[in-house]
Amino acid sequence: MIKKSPHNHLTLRFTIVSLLLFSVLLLQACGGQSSSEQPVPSELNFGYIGSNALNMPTGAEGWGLHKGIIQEELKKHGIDTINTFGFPNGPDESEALISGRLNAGAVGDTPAIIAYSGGAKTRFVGQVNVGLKAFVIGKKNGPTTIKELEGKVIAVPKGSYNHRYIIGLLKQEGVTNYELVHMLGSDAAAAIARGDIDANVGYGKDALALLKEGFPLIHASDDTPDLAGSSVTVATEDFLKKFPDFPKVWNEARGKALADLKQHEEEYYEFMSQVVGMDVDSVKKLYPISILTDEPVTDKVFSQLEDVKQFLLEESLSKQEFKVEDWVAK
Amino acid sequence: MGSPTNESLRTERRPSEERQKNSRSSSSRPVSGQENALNDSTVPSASQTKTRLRLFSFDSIQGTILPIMILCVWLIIDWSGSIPKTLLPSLFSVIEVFGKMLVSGELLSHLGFSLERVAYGFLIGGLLGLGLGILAGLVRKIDYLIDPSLQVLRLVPHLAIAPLITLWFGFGEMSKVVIIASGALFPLYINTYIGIRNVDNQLLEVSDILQFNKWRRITKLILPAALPNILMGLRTSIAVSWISLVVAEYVGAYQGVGFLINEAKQNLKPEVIFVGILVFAIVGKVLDSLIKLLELRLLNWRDNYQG
Amino acid sequence: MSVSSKTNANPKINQAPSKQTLFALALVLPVTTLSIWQILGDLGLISDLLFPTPYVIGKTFVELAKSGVLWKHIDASVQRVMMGFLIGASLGLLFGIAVGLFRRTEKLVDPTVQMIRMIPSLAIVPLFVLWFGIGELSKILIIAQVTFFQLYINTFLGIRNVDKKLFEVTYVLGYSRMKQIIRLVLPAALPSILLGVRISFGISWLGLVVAELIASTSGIGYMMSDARQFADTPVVFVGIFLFAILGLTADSLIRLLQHRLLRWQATINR
Repeated sequence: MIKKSPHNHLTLRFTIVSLLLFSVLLLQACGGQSSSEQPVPSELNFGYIGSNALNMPTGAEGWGLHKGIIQEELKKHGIDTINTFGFPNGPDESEALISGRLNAGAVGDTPAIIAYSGGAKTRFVGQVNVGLKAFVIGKKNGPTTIKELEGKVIAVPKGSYNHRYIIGLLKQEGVTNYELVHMLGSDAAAAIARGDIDANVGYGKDALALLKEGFPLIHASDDTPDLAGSSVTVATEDFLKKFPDFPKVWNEARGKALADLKQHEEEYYEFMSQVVGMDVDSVKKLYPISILTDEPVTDKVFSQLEDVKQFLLEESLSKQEFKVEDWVAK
Repeated sequence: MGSPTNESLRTERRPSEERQKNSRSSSSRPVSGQENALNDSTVPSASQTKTRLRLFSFDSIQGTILPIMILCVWLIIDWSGSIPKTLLPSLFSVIEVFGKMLVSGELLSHLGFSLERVAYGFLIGGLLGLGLGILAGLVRKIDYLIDPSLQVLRLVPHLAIAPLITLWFGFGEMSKVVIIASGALFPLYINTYIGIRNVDNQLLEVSDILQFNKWRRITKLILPAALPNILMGLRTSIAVSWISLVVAEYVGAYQGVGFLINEAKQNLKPEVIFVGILVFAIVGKVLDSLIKLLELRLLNWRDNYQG
Repeated sequence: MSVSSKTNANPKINQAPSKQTLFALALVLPVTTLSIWQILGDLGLISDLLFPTPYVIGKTFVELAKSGVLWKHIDASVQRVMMGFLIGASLGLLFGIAVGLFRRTEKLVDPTVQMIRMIPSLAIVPLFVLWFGIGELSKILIIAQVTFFQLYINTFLGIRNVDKKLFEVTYVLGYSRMKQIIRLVLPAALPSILLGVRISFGISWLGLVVAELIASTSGIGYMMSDARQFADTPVVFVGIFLFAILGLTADSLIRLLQHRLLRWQATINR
């Protein structure tokens, strides 16, 4: 047997351990922080829900960013670039906020609350819109009322405001036995066409397409405003530490954008139609200007958040109790 | 090869140059019926020799038979209207959208982005896999240290880790390239490793007789002997890299064929989904054929079974 | 060749270390990584939401195991993989042999197979759902599909890699086609085929992850994506470790099988 000299053995081990340490440090440097060490950041990474070629959110934020209104305001405070990122679903965006990849974002109230109660270091900045549309669409020759969904399979984007909406609906109607599966877009369309799922909760272009195909509408969120979903702007604690005035500045900028789009309604709808990929009439139905919040931070907003939070806690969708005022960015 | 003929064997024996021509034609892209018609037009020219006729007409066409059958089935489904258009759009609407996207340059632009990502990911992951495979295959000490860990890592589906990779490396190009690289690494690693380990002992003994030094033994014997396996790994690697695009371009991407499909699924654009599928299939096949060509070049010294 | 010259010429053959040493060496990398991970986590250098420490992951694992939830998911996933793998592997083997042995079949079938192989499963999920529903069938078929392509190509290339000289030996021996296949082609291609089995088994778990994105209510992939919806990262890591453990067990079994079936092989390894 060939003897391994102790010297060889040691050097081998040493090289391996140091290589490991080096690679871990490298990984950590690549991983963790994305923001620079400067006192006031010059870049804002902003997230939103959706997927479009313009890479713009909807609503006042989208309009403001598209027109440059928001960029102008933020430039006065040292932020030169705003990068936007689209996500397919709320929880995906939450992940990005948690990791620090995003500094702020517009996301549904449900995923935002769930993330915060799970320990995410985010802060509420302001409400974006309230009364988001959602539709419960049934399969052909299937259930026509919520009560008939007893014992059935329902597809919904889990963790989003649609999730809260359908659970609230079912609870209101006293339906206790049902199965919720997570499906989006084309997958859900295929499943409902086959009749494998009995109902689908959708909110945008996909919902409209299904309705056009003749699938029956079981319920629309407009009929139960108390279950209406809202979107909120949240920002990470890290970012707020570097830029404590962000909530005020952002809401002001947003306010400017909102005022502007109200004066250019037709143009706004044109813009929206490009973003969500629907014709202008459908956009007016699904994304009317009326759902955009005027005052992002009010007591009414807080009480709405409180309702959502309580509901999620009761349904064991969120982990821990917290005080809404603790969540709000100062 | 003047071997005794045996009727029941019936192996086709062609001269080697015909064999090469054959392989090249089998890597052609049999897609639409139009190509079929083009090939058909060569049939009537009877002035050509029978062998060439065989190569150009029947052989290349053979590959297109199945795709054409699939297209016919599609047309039949369209005509019967049994499947809603939101899920299986008509063949013509798909071709229309395909044409529109091609002409506007959109398709090529998306393709460009994706190919770039795949190139980087495949090169990084592939080279790493190759290097590690060679090291672990040749050097026992390294083998004992890293092979078990790599085997375990190989068994974790890289698509399950993709969300974590996006979190660690951000939304930029880096995370996409890392996801693709993480998929490309393992097939090449394990094929290289096994390729080297499976080198026949007798060949090693021959190299001893010929008094090869270590370096010569590696470059002249072990690596060429492992080459078939390495190339097999290469083909798997490129397929995995290509397929990983959809997951890599799931978040934080606004260009790319993966993004096209993801966005189309979300916004219910079935024609675009199919355009995406077609692009994946066609370009993927081209990539695979490139590797096949490489294989032909590098391995033409072999004398192996051709069927 | 005398024994001594063999020893000098191929010292590697005689130097197999003991099983314990092998095991210990194999653990060096994982143990070091885990320790560094734990230390970095405890020091707070890495975000605990992104990178829960091994301790937290271990705790979550135990919790899930105790509540019985873990076994339900493992059971569901393993069943799907088994079924999908069996279907995909047998079809892949069949087609691979058919295409490898006969050039005519190759010309007919291979171009199409290669094209379909390059289509990502995620893209055709809607089609699968349409044709096979959201139940176990479509999940098993997606797993079968990824397994099929891997084993197909390994079998196909394995057969094509067989040296022609071996064929000439069978001509000389006057073998019939059937005998040729059974006695020569398959054994000669076996190393590649078994390698294909190993790789395709690994890839079938990849198919599982994609399959469990379709309206699942159980399974390891589902457990992981559901945890992500609720920002429960430790569970995601538990899933990753489960994949590693399950995959390793199965892979070791296949390697054992490989040892048995390939005893006649004389390579560097032995």
